[in-house]
Amino acid sequence: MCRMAHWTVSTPQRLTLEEPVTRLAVHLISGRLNIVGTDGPARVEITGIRRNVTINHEDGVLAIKHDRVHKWPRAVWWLAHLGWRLRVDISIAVPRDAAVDVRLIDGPVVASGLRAGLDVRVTSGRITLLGIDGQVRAKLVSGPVEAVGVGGELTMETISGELTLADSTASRVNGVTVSGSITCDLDNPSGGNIQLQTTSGEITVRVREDSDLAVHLHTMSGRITSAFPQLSGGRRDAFGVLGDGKGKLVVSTVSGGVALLASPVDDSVDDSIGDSVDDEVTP
Amino acid sequence: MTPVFSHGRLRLYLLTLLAEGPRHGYELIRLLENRFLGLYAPSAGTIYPRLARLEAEGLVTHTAAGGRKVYEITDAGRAELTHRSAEVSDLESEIRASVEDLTSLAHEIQHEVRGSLRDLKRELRQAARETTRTAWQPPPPAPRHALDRRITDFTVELRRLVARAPLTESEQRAVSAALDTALAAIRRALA
Repeated sequence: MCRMAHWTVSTPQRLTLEEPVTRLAVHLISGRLNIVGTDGPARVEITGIRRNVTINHEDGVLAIKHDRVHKWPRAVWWLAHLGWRLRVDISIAVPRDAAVDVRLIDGPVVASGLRAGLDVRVTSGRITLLGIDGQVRAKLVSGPVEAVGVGGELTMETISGELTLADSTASRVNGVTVSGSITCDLDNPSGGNIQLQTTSGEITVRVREDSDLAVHLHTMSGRITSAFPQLSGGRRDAFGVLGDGKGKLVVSTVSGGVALLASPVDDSVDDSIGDSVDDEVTP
Repeated sequence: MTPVFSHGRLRLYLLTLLAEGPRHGYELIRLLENRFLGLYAPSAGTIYPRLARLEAEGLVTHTAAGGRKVYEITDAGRAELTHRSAEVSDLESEIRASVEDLTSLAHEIQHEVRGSLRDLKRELRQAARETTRTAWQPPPPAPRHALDRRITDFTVELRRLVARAPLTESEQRAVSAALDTALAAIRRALA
């Protein structure tokens, strides 16, 4: 059975899709893009639009694209339209289990609440991730990646921009930037595999104090700081094994310091909390 | 956003989550985060005292598994949930309403992420500064004899003990006195 729906959108509007969505593919030239995983049906909310966007929904695949009238190379075409003439602000809600694929030339992407994998490629902009699981790939040429609460396997890449990962349980983290610092706070009890690399910038990593990691820290011209006294080495490299060394932590920068910090295991919080039990909590 | 978790409602929601199956504290945090599309990520300091309170009231129990506490709802806990089922469904519909407007939701998300990353960076900078003070330094050349190694081990162990928790003044005095005693004894032995 072939279910198909098609819209060409030229004015701000909201659509609700009754049929299921298992995959979302967004290819836009310029704009702000928000993608949120929810329990309800898929929805598309378009608030600002300067050029038509086409939306196709077929066999569970929701595809959202800018109309392209010319066959020119994308960059030339983009310049000819000066970017802003194509700007569109879109927010999309999809089921949490939908796989999401995003290509955007210029603008910020916010994604949250997804658990079946995410692939975001932005040429120039910013990628913000919150509560994402599965295979996660965030790639830019220029701009930062900001991620909170990522599980699964994460790859972050940019040429020029900062990479920041907080409050995450990801079992594999791969972060590469040429110019920009990297900050990474992981709470993964089994250690995992963490590889972080920058040419010009600092790297700060915090792992659990009971981590099982084989560690190698490297900097050409910065200083190395470690909260784990088990490490040994020289001025440029520090090596060591934490716990049983099952996982791997490899951190390397050319110019910039490296800091490896330790976070206490969460259950130890039990004893140190006072009486603030029934305070109001506002999300 | 509205204060979804006003007085006592977070406890109720924790019970709701535990009714779906046993979880450890960190899983509960992740689940809450997921339910709120990541918008609300309570800290361990918010969750654990509430779990402790629930346990004291007999609504949940815990077992230790792999160094972590796994919490489980008790029959009394289930009874409490049934008793307050109207409140639970109110809470759930409010949560749904709070994620209704996608665009403002996305703004909230961005705001939230930026805020928590700013906090994290500040915290880590502070931690790095403190670590530098007691830092691991490029070590001296390999120890020449067993005594050197013994001294290194001693220093490492001592730093680890001292770094573990903020020391009270009396603990600091005790450590300092012990060091003085040891040093005096060594001076006497080598004099």
